[in-house]
Amino acid sequence: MATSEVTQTEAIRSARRRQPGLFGGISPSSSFYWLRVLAENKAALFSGIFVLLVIIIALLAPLIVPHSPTTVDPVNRLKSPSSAYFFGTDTLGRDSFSRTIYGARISLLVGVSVMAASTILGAIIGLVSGYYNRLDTPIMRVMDGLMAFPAILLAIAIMASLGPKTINVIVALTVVYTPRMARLVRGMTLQIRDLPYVESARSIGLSDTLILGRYVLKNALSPVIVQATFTVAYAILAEASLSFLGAGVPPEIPTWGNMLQDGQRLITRAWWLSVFPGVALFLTVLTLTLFGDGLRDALDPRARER
Amino acid sequence: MSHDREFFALLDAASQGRMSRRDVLKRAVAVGLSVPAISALLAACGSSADSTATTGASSSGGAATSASGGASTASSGSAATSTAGGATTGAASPVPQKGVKGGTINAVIIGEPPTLDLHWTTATIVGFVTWNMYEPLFAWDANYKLIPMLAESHEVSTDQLTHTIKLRQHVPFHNGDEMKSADVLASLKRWATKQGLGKALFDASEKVTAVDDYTIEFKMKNPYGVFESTLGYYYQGPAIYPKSVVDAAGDGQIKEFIGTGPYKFVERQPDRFIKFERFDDYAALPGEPNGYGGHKYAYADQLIFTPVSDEAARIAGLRSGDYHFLESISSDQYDTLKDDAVATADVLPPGGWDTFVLNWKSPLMSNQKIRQAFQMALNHEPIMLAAWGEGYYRLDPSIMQKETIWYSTAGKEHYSPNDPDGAKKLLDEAGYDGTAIRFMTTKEYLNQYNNAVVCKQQLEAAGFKVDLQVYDWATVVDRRSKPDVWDTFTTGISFRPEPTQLAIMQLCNWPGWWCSESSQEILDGLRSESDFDKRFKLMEQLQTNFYTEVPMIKIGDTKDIVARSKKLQGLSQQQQLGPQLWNAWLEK
Amino acid sequence: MTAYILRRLVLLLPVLLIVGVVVFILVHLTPGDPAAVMLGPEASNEQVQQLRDQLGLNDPIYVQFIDWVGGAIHLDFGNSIFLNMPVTTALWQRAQPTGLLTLYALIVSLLIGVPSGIFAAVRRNSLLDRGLMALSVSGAAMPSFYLAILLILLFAVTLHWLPSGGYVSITDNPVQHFKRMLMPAFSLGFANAALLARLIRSSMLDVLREDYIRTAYSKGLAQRRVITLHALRNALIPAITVVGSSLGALLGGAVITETVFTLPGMGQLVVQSVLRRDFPVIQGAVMVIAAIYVLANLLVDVLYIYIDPRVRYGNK
Repeated sequence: MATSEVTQTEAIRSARRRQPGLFGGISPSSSFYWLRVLAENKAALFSGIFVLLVIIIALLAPLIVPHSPTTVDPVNRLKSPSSAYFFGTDTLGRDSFSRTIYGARISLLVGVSVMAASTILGAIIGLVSGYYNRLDTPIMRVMDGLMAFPAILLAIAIMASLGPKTINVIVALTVVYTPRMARLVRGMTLQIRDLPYVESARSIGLSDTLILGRYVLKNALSPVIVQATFTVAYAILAEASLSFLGAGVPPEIPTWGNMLQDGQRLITRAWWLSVFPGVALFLTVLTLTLFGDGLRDALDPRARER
Repeated sequence: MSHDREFFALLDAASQGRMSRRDVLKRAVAVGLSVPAISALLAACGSSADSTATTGASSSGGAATSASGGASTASSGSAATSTAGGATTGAASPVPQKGVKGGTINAVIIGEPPTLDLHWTTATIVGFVTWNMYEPLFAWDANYKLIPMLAESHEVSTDQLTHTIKLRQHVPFHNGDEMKSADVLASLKRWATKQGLGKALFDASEKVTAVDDYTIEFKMKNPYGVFESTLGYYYQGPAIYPKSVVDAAGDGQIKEFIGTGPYKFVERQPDRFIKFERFDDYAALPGEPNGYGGHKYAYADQLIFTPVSDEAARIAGLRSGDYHFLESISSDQYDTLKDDAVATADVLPPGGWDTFVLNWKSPLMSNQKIRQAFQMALNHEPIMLAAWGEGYYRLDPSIMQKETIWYSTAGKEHYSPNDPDGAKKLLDEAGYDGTAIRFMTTKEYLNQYNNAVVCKQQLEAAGFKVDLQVYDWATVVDRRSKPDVWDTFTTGISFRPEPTQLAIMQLCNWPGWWCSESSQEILDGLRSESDFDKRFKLMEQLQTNFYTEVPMIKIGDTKDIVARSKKLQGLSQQQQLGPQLWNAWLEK
Repeated sequence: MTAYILRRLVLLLPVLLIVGVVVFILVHLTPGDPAAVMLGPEASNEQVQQLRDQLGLNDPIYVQFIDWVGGAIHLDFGNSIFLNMPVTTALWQRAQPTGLLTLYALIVSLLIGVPSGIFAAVRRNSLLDRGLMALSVSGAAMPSFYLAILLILLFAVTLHWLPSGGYVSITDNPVQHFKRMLMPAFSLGFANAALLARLIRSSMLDVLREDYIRTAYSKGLAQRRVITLHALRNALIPAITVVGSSLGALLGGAVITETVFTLPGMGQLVVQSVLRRDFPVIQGAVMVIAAIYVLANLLVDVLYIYIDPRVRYGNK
């Protein structure tokens, strides 16, 4: 999550670079063009397939795992990887492989939920703030206030007050990532608001909701989608960081962050507890990032040139 | 030397006739005692009629008889006297090894102590750190009997109502002033405003006076059997501070850390380190070290305590030679240290025990049948195995550890019944409606968390619904004081040499609210009575109540593991009340 | 310029006020009792209540808030409950590890990020470019705490080259200090280096396509000269913004890094204070970190004007 602010800037920059209206007049034939571009980007393609695989694994987890991820079996504690336990067992004798598989569920659940919630909330706040001058300053001051916290600190503070529940992790991370999305959408809205065709829409008496929805949002869509993809990756990383610090998902739920917390304590004793969930986390975030990059390149022709 | 404690435990059991010669022999061999030690034990078996005399004779080279043992053996009717300096042990103590003077012992503590004011908190870590610089009037010896420390002697009048404490003379505080009765009185009075046992002592006394500079007199309203043991309380104990320090503190914490102990305070940087150095004018008792009392060598020039909350970091620092002593490590780390070139680890005899406390004020747990079903559903072996690992726990029903003279198996049929079907039946009878048990635990004490996870599985197998709530420790201690938000929580009960000092003996005043009239009555008797045999019977009754009324579940005794640098020598294995660094030294 | 800075500074006040309100509310919504933590597991309820009264924890919330804001205006954040000292003193004691860690991590990210970005841009689409960019994407996807764990596993546990944690003050023993800060600085700075490399590369590519670079080439200047003299200077301008926002990210990341490497810094103080429910310390520490963060961003904006005369704020 330390990375979020930086790429955020990058997203805004790429959004600013683009000429407004470039996508406004996109023709139907070229609206599928980006898909082709995406498919030709090998890194993005493989990443997309990998992400899809993770999703399938998460959905089918109960069918895949050889052992229950939560049943404790103290006699078999801290067994090293073997054919019975591919990734070894932890201090309570639970199967690390099964837990790693189940970990994908929480990661994706948190990642996707935070993405959806922060995108919707951020888009609404950004649109309102950018479109209505009077509301702009107060709203953006609050957003600035929230963004003045280093993300992890704000998340820790929220988690401490709400208590350790999965839903609270989603709430906390949504609070953290919404201002970033809001700022992006507000920036786009400001650029689009005064363009001639939006003004003419206003002059023929179209309602604000309609204008915001049909013209403004539609034009801001592609950077929003790119930012949303990255948000999934950040949220997964952030959930893992929170759980690693013991301030995230309840510890009996198998998540990669929780497993890494257990593993770190026993790093000199049971390396497998740190390595496998870490690799799963790393690969998932990596492929999501690569896929996001590919998406941006495909949606933004100028970025593609690089 | 590691067998010291086993020896004394056996000696006690033997001398009180609670163990046959064969039992003694079996256990002695099992723990690997030496042949001379075993013959001493068998001799004790033969003369169990006069327990006090036997103990006295087999310890020390014929020094004064310690009649104040455990605040209990002072026989009624006659005045009892115990004298400082005389209570040295000979037979069982190892031949005093000469330590090496000098150096700095770097000890690691698991977190920053909340204060260095011992009167202030029950946190064990504060006791570990500060007992190097403070001292009590009475200390626990190697046999968990009380011996005078700053006191010279303690006399009880024949009517059991007047306690006279003579203080040792020429004992300097770290600030150079001599310790006198005014300091002791001020310290005890202040302590009594913070600590329940102290408050009870002062409430039960009619008048407390300083007769002269070296004499203090307590006039009690009624006989007070736990008088001495109260003044020997360890955690949050009655450390003696100078009166000036007490006066300057007002209502708050003390501002200067001054005691009479072998080390004096130098510097504290919170979360970084606490530094002590040897107090050169320390007035050591003559003789040899004896448990938490007796002579104190203070070999090391300096003691430094460093808080390191991360276990992996603690171990790594030890292995790299930065640290010399880790107060407690998990059993999982033991294997990695076994073959280490620099470090080693010692498994200690059991200290405290793990427990699930049940809330007598919650709608669910106020039902005795449900509490009994909870008890009946559990199989303690896997719970302890998961939490502590093979070889680091002991399944035992006694509330007081086997190592004490209070050992009893009363109520053992209710210990670890492992009878889920029986539990189901009880639940039906109780009309359990499937309300989930709100089960609080914390990951900050990983053993407790693991206890809870396994327990949950067993309860569910017996038909309970369980809502496991994992909080940080700060939340657990907050919530547990609110009767309507929980049903069960995990905790550890730390070791006490005297049963009335156990946390659970606060009965109705401690979370869980064991408000039982019959238990309260027994406890009152236990507090006023001073004859050991009568007290022991009361304690057995109380333990029986413990298993039928079910205020909590005793899961099992836990063995602590301390890790240390191989250079650190002379560390006493007697650590149930916390490690002692004042007699340890660093090999060059 | 001065007027602009002043105006920006005034605008910071409402932001910091919001930060303060949010922190105060969050902290006081948090369950848990500092008095019970201090008194230990076996304390009686009576004892706990007595201490709560003494600490003023039983006062109404609004009274506590007014007290706190009143103090905070004078940079007095009250007294730590647990550490029994003023919060400002406690923070000051933790400033060195955090400050130096952040600084070193920034240096690491600049040392790795800037050259990688430049080389990748200059040798665009080469094997070097692809390799560096693959590394960079991986770096950004690697959680800093996981990287830290792997580093400890390799350099401390297996090879015994570096200590696995702990802090030595730079004034006490500079050699030990740097030995102990190496892994923390690297694990914290690496993700940032990866992002920086990508940014430098893309802004470098932008610049290389500009007319004046073509002109420079057409004048017959050597490639090295063109790059160092013209392209680099302009490509670094966006990098400055990133350095500013990196500072915030690094300060936040320091929370985790300090925990893994047991460095007694402000981040660790916050985490520990949350566990101890040391409310005044949490509030004070978060306020200070947030203030540093927004001031750093302001500084960056000011630098930006200074370096790039094309940007003119002030009359928007």
